[in-house]
Amino acid sequence: MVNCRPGTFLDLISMQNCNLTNLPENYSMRFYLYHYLVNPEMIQIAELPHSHKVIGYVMSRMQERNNIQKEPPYGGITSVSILRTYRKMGIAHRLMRCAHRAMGEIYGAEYVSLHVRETNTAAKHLYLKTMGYHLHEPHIEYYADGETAYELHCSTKRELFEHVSRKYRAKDGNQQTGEPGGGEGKSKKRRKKK
Amino acid sequence: MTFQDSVNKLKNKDRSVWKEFVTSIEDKDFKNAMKHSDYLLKIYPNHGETMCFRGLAFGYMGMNETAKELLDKGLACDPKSSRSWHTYGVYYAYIKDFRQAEVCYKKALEFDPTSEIILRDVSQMQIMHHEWNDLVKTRQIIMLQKPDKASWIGFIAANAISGNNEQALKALNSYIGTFRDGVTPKEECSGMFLYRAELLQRMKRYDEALQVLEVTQSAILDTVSWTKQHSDLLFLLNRKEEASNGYCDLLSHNSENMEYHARFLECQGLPSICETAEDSTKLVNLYSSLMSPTNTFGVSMPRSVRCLIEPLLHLNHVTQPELTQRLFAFAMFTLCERGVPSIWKVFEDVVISSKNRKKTIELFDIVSTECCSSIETNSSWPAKWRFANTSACLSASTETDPVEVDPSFILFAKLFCAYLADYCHQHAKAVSIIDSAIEHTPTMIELHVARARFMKHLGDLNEAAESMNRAHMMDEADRYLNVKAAKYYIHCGKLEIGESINAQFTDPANRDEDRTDLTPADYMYDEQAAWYFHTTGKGVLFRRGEVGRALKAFVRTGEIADDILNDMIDFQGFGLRRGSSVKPFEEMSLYMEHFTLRKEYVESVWWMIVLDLMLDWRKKTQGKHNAFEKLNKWYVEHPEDEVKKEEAATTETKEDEPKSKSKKKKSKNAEAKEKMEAAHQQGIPKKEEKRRMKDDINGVELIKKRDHVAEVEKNIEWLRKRLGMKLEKTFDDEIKSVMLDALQAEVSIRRDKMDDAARHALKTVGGLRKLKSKPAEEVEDFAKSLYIAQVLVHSVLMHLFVLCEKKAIPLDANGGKPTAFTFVWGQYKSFFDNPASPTELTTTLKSKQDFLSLVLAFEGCVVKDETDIDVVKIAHSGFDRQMGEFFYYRLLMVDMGDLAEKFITAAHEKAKIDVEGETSEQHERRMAILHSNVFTGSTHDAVLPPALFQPELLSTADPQLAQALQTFQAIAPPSEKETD
Repeated sequence: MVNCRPGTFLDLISMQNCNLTNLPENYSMRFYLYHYLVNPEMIQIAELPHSHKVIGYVMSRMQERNNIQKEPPYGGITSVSILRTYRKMGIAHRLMRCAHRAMGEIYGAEYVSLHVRETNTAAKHLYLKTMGYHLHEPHIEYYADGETAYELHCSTKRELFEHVSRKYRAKDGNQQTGEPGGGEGKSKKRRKKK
Repeated sequence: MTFQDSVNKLKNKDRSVWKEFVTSIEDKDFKNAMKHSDYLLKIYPNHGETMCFRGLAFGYMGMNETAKELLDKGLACDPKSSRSWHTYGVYYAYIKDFRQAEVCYKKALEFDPTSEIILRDVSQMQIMHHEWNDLVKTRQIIMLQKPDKASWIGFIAANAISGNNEQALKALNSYIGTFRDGVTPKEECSGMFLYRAELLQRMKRYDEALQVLEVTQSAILDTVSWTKQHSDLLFLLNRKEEASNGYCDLLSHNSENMEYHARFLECQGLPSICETAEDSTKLVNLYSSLMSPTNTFGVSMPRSVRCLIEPLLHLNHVTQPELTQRLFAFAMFTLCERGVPSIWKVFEDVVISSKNRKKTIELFDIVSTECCSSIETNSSWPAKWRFANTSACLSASTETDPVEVDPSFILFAKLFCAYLADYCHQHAKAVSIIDSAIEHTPTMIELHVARARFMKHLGDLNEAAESMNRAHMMDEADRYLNVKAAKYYIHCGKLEIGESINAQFTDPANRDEDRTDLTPADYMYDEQAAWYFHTTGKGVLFRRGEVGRALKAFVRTGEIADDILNDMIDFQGFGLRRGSSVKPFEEMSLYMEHFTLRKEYVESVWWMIVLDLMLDWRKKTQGKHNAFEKLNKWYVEHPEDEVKKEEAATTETKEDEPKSKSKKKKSKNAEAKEKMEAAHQQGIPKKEEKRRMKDDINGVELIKKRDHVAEVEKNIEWLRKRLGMKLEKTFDDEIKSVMLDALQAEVSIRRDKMDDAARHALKTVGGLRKLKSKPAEEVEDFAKSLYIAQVLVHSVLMHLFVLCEKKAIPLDANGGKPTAFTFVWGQYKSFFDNPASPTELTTTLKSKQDFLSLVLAFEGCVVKDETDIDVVKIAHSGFDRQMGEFFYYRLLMVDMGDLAEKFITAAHEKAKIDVEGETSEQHERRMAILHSNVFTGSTHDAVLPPALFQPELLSTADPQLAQALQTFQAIAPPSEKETD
């Protein structure tokens, strides 16, 4: 039975392995270190208690804001991964909730943004139907292989979670000029360079 | 001389060039660095710093000899320049010689005691070497010079790590004193307040900790951590009722956290294992109410999987078998209903935690088998095993009629049964269960994944790979299945197929524009995918005997570890500047190298040692023997047509598949695959590989340049350090540590340092004696490592024999034994005559004659390097399987494959391992696989022939062997259990 808890420094290497096994978008250790050192509370993991193997994680961070337009602080989910064999146990949901709470409470994020592949129906279902995300805007050819990404947003105000909006909201009127949130695919391009 | 002084030597107009020069090196822009340094050296031929920096640039480019020369020369020109010394230190740190780096940094500090850069580098080395007290001193100097946030955090953390919590707390309080409302970021205040409570808790000042926590509650933003710590403190202060409320809060936040549950139960006054009926009833009712929509705790977790399992984890299964079975049945029904594919993993934890695993497995087996057959025959769940909720499990089921269930139930029930059988080493049974499930629903991917794993445990790696590939074909867009299929193919030696599957995601055509020049292998290297190189090494070594290529792959795994360590070092300063708490920096300093404890890295290093010892021998004997030739020959005689056929089949099915993904992608993949195969057939690596893999995919150059014995020594040190780093030591670790002594003796013998060898060999004997005196409850663990231990015992006896012969161990001092042989025999007897456990006895040599032949044979071929046929004959006469394998291992280490082959064949003939219905070709293949595996004595990777896992086939043939095999089963757990 898996154990869900906040990630620590010792989990980073196992998280990297989980990511390499499960997702096409991979990152070198620098990227994990960056997340851990800046927003340690926003990494949540699921592990096997005896081997301490990480079988799922959520990695998120606060996004850099566009100060001129007075953007509110907001968080970005960088990467979510649950090993295929451990799906259907609600792990992703649990970890995401924990990450939302940390970014809302500690770092004052008003909402959280993420990118999801157009064809990833399972993930879309989780975000839109279960977690209460709504469509912010699509990004055509966002991923390296040409696939379109949906940028989804979700409020971090917990009470709102109870009344999940089941409709896809139409494209927002306000054009956002800031960089898109930390998506799975392209975020590595902006990885921390020393 | 300080940094500034050295620049003052230059004329004004050249200072800008110097600046550019330094920047160009920092940016690793070597072309400009060379240009600038050429210019500077022309005008100032004796400018030491320029020479040193130029040397560093060469070092970065991998030209170590030139680098060293220049650095030495530069230092000679300016022996009192802090910059020159510092540069030398940076160079040493770059080539991973951290000891020398520290020496240089400290020397630099002598000439410039206040330089922040040097101080920071010194503190970094102190972290690397765990010199905590010195670290405190260094961080104190930094802090006094420049008391900013980074310095404070560094100083506080250094004190805490060195164990001086008192001092850390004092420093933290002073730092908190500098906080200004509205100026200091809120999250920083929050982090520091939390850390203060933690320091107090570490010092066991619970009351105080609780007080500061409560006072600062409004400023602490991380409410989850606050609640956790607050509840923990209340718990420690024995205020359990209040603590319980906190844990309830936490549970409603995260119902799947193990620790919250454990603490909550303790607060309710329940023991960790409920022995009495009263406690058990309370436990079950508690969880029943936690899962119901309303209860007195204000937490409702109706869908929590952990709540289903938690009661099972806290029951005594032996004294309460019925309750255990009912709870299990209820949980299993729920999980089948939800269609959880990892149904086994949920219960595996219960089995592992159980005080009596055998009993637990037996209970689970009965229920799951009954349910399975009931669903299969009348598609219903047995009434006996149906319960409405957790508390209903307290009494026998009240249902009278079987409950009709969804047809999909059978799949999950069978998945569970199959995994359970697999866990019990009944791999063939597991396969047959899963096959029947696949027949029912061929499209369920998880079934194929499971089948692949069982096949692997059964020893049929080819079929395992095929199964995994079928799963992969059903969902080609899934990276998990893709990785697994690639890994399985690489593992069974079909490297090319594995690589081409992996390339579907790592192919240049499908990647970010800025990295299209990378080959898939380089991409994996860049992303630090250690599994890829580790598996490649094992695959090419075990299945193809390509020693050079394997060594290269293992070396590359090590390079990835270095790369990650570099990342860690780079980020230390960043952690200080950006962190809002002390903890991340503290953890990072303490555990910086712990990531290397992962099996990819550790195993690769063990393999490097074995290969280096073998190659060293090969060099010394000028390639007179070639251990892997036999194996290679086998592969040549049985050409890869089988592989090719399968390859063709793979391509065909691919084309038959409906094209779900874009055509473009697929055709590119196929093209790349073709290219790669063509390249492989011609034996030339691809262009990019050439550049990145440094022209040496097969490790020829690597082997030529490598100083094998020195590498072994280095690796022994490396492994020793890792063993010291482990937080919990297992029995296996203790054996490994003795094994390192034995290896050190081996190295000393090869270096002809007989005194050292004698010391290490005797130390090994001492270590083994200590292991032997382990208490009986560790026998199970003992069995697991016995195989390795045995190899070790004999290995060390060999050493002793050699040493006695060479008079490195004075025989008279050891009781006046007349010959080396009798001395060693005495050692042997004293080790085994009073065995610590029965398993130990059954798996060791049985007669003196065996030992005699063993020693003679070994001496005959290893020490004198003569293949005395009589000696071999004697050895043959007293052989059993284990000894044969042991010989195989030893002989391969000294690269005497021909002889090794004779030994193992003789051993196996004697043991007569035959599998019913096996064709001669299958037999031959199986033997080849066996040969390529057992020689290391590493049970984790020894893929044994099916017969070894079916004692029923063997017991009639040779009872002694069967008994040995039973031990073996305990030894060899499914090799990838821990890695999924």
